Amino acid sequence: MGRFVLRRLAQSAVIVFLVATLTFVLLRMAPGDPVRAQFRDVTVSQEVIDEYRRSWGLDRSMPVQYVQYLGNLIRGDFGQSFSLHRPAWDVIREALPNTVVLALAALGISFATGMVLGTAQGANPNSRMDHTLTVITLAVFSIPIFWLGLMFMLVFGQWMGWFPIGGEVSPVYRGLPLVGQLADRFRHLVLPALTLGLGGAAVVARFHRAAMAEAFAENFIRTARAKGLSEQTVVLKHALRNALLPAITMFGLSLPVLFSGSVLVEYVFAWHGMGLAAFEAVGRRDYNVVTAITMIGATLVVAGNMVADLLYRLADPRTAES
Amino acid sequence: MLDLAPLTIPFPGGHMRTTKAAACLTLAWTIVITACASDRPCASPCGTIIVNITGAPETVLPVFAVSSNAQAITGLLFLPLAEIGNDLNYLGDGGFEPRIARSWTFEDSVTIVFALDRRATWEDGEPVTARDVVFTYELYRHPAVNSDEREDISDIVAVEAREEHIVAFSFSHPYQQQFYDATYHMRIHPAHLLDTIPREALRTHDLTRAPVGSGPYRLGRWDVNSTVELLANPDFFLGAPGVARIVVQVVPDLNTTVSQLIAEETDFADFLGSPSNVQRVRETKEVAVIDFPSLAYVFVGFNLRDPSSPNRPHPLFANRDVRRAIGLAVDLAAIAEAVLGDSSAVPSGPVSRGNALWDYEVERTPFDVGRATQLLESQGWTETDSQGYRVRNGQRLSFTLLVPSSSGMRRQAAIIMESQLHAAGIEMLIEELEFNAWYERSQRGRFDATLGNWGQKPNPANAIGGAWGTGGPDNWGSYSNAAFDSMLAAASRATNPAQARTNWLAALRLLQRDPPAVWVFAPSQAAGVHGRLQNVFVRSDDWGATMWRWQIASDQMLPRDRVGVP
Repeated sequence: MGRFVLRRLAQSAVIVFLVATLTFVLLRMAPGDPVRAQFRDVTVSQEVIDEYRRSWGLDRSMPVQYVQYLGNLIRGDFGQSFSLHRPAWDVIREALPNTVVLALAALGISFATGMVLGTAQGANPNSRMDHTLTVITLAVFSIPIFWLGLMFMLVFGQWMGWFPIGGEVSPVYRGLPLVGQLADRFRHLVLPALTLGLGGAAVVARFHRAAMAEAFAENFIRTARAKGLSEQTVVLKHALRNALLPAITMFGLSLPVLFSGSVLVEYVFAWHGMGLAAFEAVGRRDYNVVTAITMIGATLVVAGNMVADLLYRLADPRTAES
Repeated sequence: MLDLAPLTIPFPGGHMRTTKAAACLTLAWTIVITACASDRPCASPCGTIIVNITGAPETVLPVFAVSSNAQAITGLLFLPLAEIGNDLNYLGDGGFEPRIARSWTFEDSVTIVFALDRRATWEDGEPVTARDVVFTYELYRHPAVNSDEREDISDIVAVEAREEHIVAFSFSHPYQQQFYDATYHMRIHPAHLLDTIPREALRTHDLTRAPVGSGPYRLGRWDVNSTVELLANPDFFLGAPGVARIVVQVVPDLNTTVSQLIAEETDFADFLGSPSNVQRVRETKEVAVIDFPSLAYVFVGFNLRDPSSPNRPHPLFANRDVRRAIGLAVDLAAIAEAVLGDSSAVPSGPVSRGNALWDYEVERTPFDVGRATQLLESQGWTETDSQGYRVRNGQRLSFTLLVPSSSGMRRQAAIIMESQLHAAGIEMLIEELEFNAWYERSQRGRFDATLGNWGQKPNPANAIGGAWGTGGPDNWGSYSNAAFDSMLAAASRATNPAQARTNWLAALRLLQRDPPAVWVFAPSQAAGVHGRLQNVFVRSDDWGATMWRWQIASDQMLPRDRVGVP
């Protein structure tokens, strides 16, 4: 196990390095000038533009910039944000917790809902409930995430008034007592987490249904039933456990999807996380913030996949032997 | 005050449980927030204004403020010597109100002397003095600070402290905008705190994140990505502000902002976006829509150089009559109406509705396909091909228009223009690009025509010179007309308003005869304001300029108005 972890750590370091290099190259190849992007629709003198370029080091050659960039990264320095005049890390430090909260909540909704639905469908294949849930999950999966978010906002925010429409907390959050602050955070989390999580739940349900149906066709299920075990025990203890492997694989795959999906959800719900920060930074050609977000995102995704691999080995020791 | 409508919404069967649960949640929230609201009687300053902006402010120190949001926020923290009037007059000192300066005198044609208000103090209690004004001028001029206002104050040659509260501004030559230049571009910074910081380190220094100002508000909190909280300065020397707290929150999507306005989650947004968004807000009785003239105008800029070989003239647009014909073949009033409804008009030149030049009577380019046809035929575009486009020597009269995909209004305008030009036998192909890609192509002159948008300051001279003057940094189409340049310079250097007006009129009329662009539309802007706010006026150049005078009647407070207010 130790060698496995070390090997995966080494692979992860290579992946993160490649991501860092690709981000550097692609950002600078993309059309758009980071200095001009700070002055949208406003005329400024060339003198001002040149001074910005010099102070941000953009007047140096690409190889020089690259060496400096790698050196800074190794020291954990992401540089200054061009558009916000402060260390890029400050932007991340504020945004990261918001994204983690949203991603975890969405992950919880995806897997809890998806596995309950998938289990129910897999345990009752070709029943009316199975067909109905198939239609519903396919429909939810087909809905564009931003549209779903707008509809939630309109119905449950604007019309019903049940949940706030935007932001991760109320503007007057700091004036609330602890209980009020917790309630406020929860109320703000519901709609974005549902928007981000429901699409994933549909996918998990589809995969888990198939895995459960496959497990139910195995001999050990027939044996368990022949032993007179209750159906609940058969489903939860035997079928579900054996159908978990695809779900663990999906867990690893879900992280990048959640990070990319969060860009739209964070934009629509004004959720100030990494996705929204990335969206703003790309629009402003804020190289250092984009790089920092990409690096943090890549690290989290690599770490998530590593956790999934470890869980996989724990759930099915045969994979470790092979 | 919270909407309890969910309690009365009838849902059949099992949904009722969910409805009740959610309604209970809403009710519980109402109780929490009401319980947290201060129950002390409300004296001025009182209440909270929540403001939505689309992009995070880059700074809270005025010298580094570039975006309109940063300028508005820093304007509530720091004061200028005098504040421009609501009519945005920039000639002489008409309409300007005293701020740090209590009074001023025009000593001679190149010197203005300001007497500072002795009551003005910094947040830390130190008095505001002439030293601060001199320091501020040096700060804005310093190359390492690199303020984008540097060019605008280049005609100020010296600022001298004559006494502790007397300061004199000297100008390089007599001109009408001296007072505007001395007061509009610079907000006074505290020398006693900032002077010791190396200029090149100032932009990222800790003090820039905890600024000490002299304005009606103080910085309460600044979460860089999301929120700026401003708290009223009750000791403000010009009188306590009307509202105790302003919370500025970043909400990038205008649809979300509109929904928040309707749901009373926010109080103010200076821009609502599309006409349909504006209509949604107009239909809400709790929210008022305030229309005000925008300082932006939209244009189709022609490239006068060949994009594939900039040393050569453009094969189509080097010809003045072809450019004029395109302007005549487009029904600009119809485009403005279709894209922005009543809130838009056709400009007479590179002029926005919020600008004083807007009122100058310069005739607009008429919609006259017959005249356009004459002009094109006079240039040899006499035949048409099977698709109805004009051809000359086997070449179709065709060009490509670059459009930024981020602007729905410009995309819509381009589509209408395409069909109108087709009717006149002109093929216009549309190329949509991501904003930065569009900007780079336009700025590098790699286009036939580009659909642009420029914002202006109250004095448009620098913006017009930069975009349309010979060698201007944003003169993307390489337009060059010596007569126009000299009229522009004469207008800027005029020593009386009548002379300035004459020169501006001549310059704008010249651009009608030798157009570097088609001036497509100049929009009005619509702001959404919660109905309980009083004394509201939105100035075109700065949404925060008058906010310190806004008020909330104590009987119209929402529970959130008083949560956490000291």
